[in-house]
Amino acid sequence: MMRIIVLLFLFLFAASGCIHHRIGMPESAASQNRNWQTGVTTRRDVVAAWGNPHKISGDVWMWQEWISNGGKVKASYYMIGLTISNAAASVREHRLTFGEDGRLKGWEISESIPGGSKWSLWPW
Amino acid sequence: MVRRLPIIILAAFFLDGCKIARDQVNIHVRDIDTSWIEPGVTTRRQVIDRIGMPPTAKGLGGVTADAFRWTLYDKRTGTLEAGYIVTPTFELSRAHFAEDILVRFDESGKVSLVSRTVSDGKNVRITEWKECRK
Amino acid sequence: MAQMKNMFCRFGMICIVGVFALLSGCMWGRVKVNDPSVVDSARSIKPGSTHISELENILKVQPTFRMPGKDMTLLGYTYSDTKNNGLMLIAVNFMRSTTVTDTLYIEADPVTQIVRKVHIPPKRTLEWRFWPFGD
Repeated sequence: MMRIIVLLFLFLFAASGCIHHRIGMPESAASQNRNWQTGVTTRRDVVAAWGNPHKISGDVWMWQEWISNGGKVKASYYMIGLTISNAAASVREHRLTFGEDGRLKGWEISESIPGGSKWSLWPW
Repeated sequence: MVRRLPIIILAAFFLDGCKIARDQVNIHVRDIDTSWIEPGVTTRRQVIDRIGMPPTAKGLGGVTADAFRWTLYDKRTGTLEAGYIVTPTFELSRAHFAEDILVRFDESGKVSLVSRTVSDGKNVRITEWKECRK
Repeated sequence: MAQMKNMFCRFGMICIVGVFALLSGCMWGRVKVNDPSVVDSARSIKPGSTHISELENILKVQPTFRMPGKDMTLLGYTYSDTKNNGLMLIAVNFMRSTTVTDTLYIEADPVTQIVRKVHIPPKRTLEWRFWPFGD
């Protein structure tokens, strides 16, 4: 049992904390754009899956996912201590263009960091 | 007692530093009544007189040239700081718009769309959708 | 007599320790962004005669944003109030934060820049809540 405790201690150190924050539409909803069809999907269909758009510019409706990944570790022993933390955030934007009939004309996805932000503890 | 000691140490590692937090912004958005709004008939002035204008805060809705948006922002966070001497933080948070009201206006200042949604963080449901097509 | 005095002292100490013990896991916090009293100052604005340039003297602050448009110029003064409440137990901590944001809007004529209307948001009360579950 003590061996497990020691291994756990080492694991905790190696795991280096894990922080994940998400704002915006749920992850499961974000993948639903595979079902969108130009000329068929309406604005209402998209709102029913993703909620109201975060930005509207004319006929372009935009939905955003804000994701932040990072880590944090505190090490302290009596009066000596230090804290290391890091966070990287990115935005994924889904831009959908609708025609005057309210149906989808086209869509594109852009990411402020291709592939999303990576987990990393080290701030340097 | 000696045999139970490792379990107690394990439990102390994991339970100490467990935090469950909830943040909510603008709960009063739930009480806004939009059922009386008629697209193509109701004007921006009538919306302002009856409901008022939404607060403008970054990312939380507000006033734009052709729309008003009210949002109820809801965030749930679970944090675990487990360890002794070295303490990594494990944190997961999800934020969503639990209630979201969008009212759009056309060039003449009349309401062209009312869209109201509720969300529990996993699913979204439209509670009101009224549109005035061109 | 001395015995009664002893009893009261002991009872008093128990009460004091008890109060501290009950409160020891509690947390209260407040965060205010900008000054909500801008709303009270705004009541002295006279629609139809006050010019936009006089607003800084009356309200003592710059607007949070300014939106020019063809039928009106809109100025917004945003403020917020947050109450953080928590219960810190030995094994687990519960916290809840409730925020209200509001904006004072001032509408002005786009040409003459004379204030047309002042939209004062209603006063809202915030509760102290520590339980993170439920609505």
